[in-house]
Amino acid sequence: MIRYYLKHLDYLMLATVLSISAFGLWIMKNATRNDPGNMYGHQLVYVGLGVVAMLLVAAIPPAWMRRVHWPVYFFVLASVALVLAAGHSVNGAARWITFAGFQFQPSEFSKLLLIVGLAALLSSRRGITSPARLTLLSLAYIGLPAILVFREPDFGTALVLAAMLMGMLFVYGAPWRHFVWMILAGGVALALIFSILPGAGIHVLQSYQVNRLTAFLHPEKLDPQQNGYNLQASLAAVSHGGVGGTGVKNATQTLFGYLPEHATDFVFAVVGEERGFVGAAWLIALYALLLWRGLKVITKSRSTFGSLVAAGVVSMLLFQITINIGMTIGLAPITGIPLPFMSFGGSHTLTNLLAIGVLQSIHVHAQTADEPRVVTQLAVA
Amino acid sequence: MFLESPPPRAEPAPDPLPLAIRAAALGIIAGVLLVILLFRLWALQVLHAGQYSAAAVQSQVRTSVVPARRGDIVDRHGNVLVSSRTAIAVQVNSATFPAGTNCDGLNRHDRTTVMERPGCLILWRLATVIKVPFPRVWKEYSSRYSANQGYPITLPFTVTRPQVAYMLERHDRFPSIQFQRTFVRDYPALDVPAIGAINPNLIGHVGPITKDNLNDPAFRGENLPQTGTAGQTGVEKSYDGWLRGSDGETAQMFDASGQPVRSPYLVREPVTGSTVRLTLDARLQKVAQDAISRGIQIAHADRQYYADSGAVVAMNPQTGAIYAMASYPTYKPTVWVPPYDGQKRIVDPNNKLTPQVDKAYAGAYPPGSTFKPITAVAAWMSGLIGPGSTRPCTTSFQSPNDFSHHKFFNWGPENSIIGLSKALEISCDTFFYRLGDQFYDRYQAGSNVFQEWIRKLGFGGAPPVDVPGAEDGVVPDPHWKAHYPPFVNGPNPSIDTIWEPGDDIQMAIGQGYLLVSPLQQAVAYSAIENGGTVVTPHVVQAITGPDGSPAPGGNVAPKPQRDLHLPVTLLDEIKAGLYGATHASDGTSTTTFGSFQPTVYGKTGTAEVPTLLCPDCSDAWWAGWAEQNGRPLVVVAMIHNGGHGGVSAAPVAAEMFSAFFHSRYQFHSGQDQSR
Repeated sequence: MIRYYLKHLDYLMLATVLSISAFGLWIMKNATRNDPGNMYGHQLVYVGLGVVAMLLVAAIPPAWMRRVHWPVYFFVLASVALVLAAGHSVNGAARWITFAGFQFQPSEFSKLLLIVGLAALLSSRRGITSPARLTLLSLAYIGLPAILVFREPDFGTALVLAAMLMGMLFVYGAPWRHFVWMILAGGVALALIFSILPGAGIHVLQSYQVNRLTAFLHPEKLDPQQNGYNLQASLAAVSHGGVGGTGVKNATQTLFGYLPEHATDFVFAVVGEERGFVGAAWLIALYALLLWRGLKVITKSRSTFGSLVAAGVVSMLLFQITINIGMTIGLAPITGIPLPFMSFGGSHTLTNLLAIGVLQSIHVHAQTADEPRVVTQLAVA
Repeated sequence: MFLESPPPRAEPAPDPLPLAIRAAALGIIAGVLLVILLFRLWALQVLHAGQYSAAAVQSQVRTSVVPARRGDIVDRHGNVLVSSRTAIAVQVNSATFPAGTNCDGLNRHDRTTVMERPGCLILWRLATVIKVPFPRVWKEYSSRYSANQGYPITLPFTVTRPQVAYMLERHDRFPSIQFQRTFVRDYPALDVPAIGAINPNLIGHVGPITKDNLNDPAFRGENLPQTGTAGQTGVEKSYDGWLRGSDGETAQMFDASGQPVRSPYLVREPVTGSTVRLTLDARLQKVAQDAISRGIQIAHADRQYYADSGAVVAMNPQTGAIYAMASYPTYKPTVWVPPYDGQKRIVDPNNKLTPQVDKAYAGAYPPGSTFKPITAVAAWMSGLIGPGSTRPCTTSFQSPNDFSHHKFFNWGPENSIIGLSKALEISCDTFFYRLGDQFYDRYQAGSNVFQEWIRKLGFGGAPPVDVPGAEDGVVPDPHWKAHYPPFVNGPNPSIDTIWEPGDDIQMAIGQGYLLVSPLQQAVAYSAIENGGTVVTPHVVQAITGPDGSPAPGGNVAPKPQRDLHLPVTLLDEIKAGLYGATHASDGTSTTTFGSFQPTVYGKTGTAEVPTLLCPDCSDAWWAGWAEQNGRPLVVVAMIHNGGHGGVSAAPVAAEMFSAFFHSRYQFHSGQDQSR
């Protein structure tokens, strides 16, 4: 059993994840040397726990995960609702609940749980429910927790959930027109949120959120005193790094506190400043490697469930990586999406490592008989 | 019912698109997104590296000034008259000082209000410690705030080490107060009795840069010290650009909360200002200063109790290099240096002695008989007299031009017909009245030749001396009289503004409306001594580097103003007259100079300056020269209200000659580069 497990682990994926995590810890250690509290120590613990959990989860057969998806779904709804009701707020957003002395961010864990749940839902309904109804069902399935998360407010995680849904439906094979409709609906929703409803006096988002989200669209108008400060500081830090980076001691933007949130949302700016283009490109290459391994799992899985879970995890990681780095360098709106395996934070670090664990599990168990191969005649590219 | 999901079942219906292709498509999307990120990073970090960060990084670095040491001022022999010593200046760090502080209108009675404003309270405590009135501290801070926002603001107060220690020990009560090494003027010569007389007006002082400075086209703006001080008067002002040096700069990084990180580093070394070498001889200056005091004592002994001020100019008549220029009353230049002891008395507008107005070059007085040689030059050059010309020297003179038939009296009993040299020797007024009357004839013929020659000899306009504030004096002429405000606005403007014979007649003996400064007089006598060259008087000989090496462009010796080409016969005649005045039995200063070696040529002057309080007061003058071994010296001495020139002014001049020619100290050892 253990030999089988060890034999079928994706070691390249494992090495990549460990590399990124180690790189993240190294950056964290340097970046937070002037900060109060021992962030590095905490993150070290999170990563350690996460890696152990990842390896344990990799041993769990996917079929087990699949079976508990409805209880899991209600657990997600309950915990997210609980946060809304009695959450602990940081920076104006109530995303945390305290349990046994630890603060959890249920919206982070919900991402992975919903991936598993949706994959189970879709794979079990294959051929039973019509594609249109299945798409609507998926929308509802993800939409309900997404709205709750959005209300926290955690706009970023809601977007991650949406991206996840799209990725999974895409791999599942939903008809093209469904995507066209969803994109149209998304456009209408954005127009409502940012333009039409505020014009009618209904403010779905707080004004600071709107400003933050749209700041990247007009960088020339950035007001250093206000919402543009984060982006300006981040651009300055990345630009300061140049090709080879400033090293730790000369990373003045990071070290002297000019770069806000340098351990969490803007950790990539620290990479950009301290390690320059070389370090940033290296990190992106590692992410590319990881995503490639994830994509391999999609095709390698013998079940629709496994493929869909892999697709969800890959979509989730891709979206988080793209949006986080994009916001750091002024290409994407500033949303509170952490950079996987790099940003400080227990919940998301654990979630992402567990997600890799789930990928590994699918990889390990891809060959086992209890997971019927979905499409037997699939031509492997 | 949801607790158990449906068991896995065989799944029909293959994908319309193979799974691998969908996965590949997802991979392509991922690849495209990551490549977009890479391109953006490439643009930010490689193509435009530093573009976004330049301003940001710059904003973290704050520079502070390392004050330059101001150049020394030395006398012609290198004796250091003015130097700089280090002091500690107070700074308020405006980055950490409570923002929005406003202490306008608060004074020492508003303690309760001050207590409510943290910024004011800090300045209040500072004011208490450094013993400066609180409103002044606030004024100095607030006036500098807008220009230095976010930087340490240097206040123009220096503090002692105990005060610094007191404030540093109580740093929590003096937040944002910091200290910086700076320089203030020091006057080492004052501690040496032999050279301890510094003319504070001539040397000048350093003070805060004023609006007037900035509007002054002559004010060199480069390297302006950030401490905001510049020379305000005297040599300190006119040579400010040389003395200033240039401030250095240190930079230090500050973090986002305004706390300094790392130690400051030197961006630019401060450059010490150049040394200004004066033509002044510090010992002769000391002699001059003491001589005036003694001259006033003599005047007092002569019952001229109103004698209260005076001046001496000692100059090289060949070059215009001023060896000594003293004014009385004087004061110590230390009044301009913290803690400004005695400044109040000096700048007091009610101080009638106006020590801030230098009597030697910034004061104007009627020159009296010392002006007669100038009248002689004008008369000779205008053709009124020539070789062998004579005029009657009578006890009184009535001008045929004067319809009021005013009688102008001679100062002594005399009745003979004399030539020019004799007229100078005995200082015959009526001789010169007649010349003045002849000039009035010229006026009636449409010529102001008298005034023209007076002006050619350097009167009626400030001499181009290299210190600011030289007095123009007054050379009255018909135009001047017609526009002189007290006459124009007086009770009888139609009569008072008319040019009358008496105006020329009075001016011929240095009276009337004529006013000259002792320095102008020295320039005119130099022209007579040297054969007609109107020199440019100057007090600065050369400028050198701080180490004494010649500074580029530092040879500032000026060219003479003009050459009048006075004929030798005229000069001989005047010289004979001035020789007689100091040697003949009827000479006016024979008692002082009759047996003096070397030979002194000179003229006394007793210019009537009647006032309500002192109807008989006269300014005592002596002007003349002596020469020995090719070392000529022109001396002009003036004692205001000093009575007879021969009594109080001549001894002052004698002291100067005596010191210059007799002292074992070699006054001429310094090179006079202006030749």
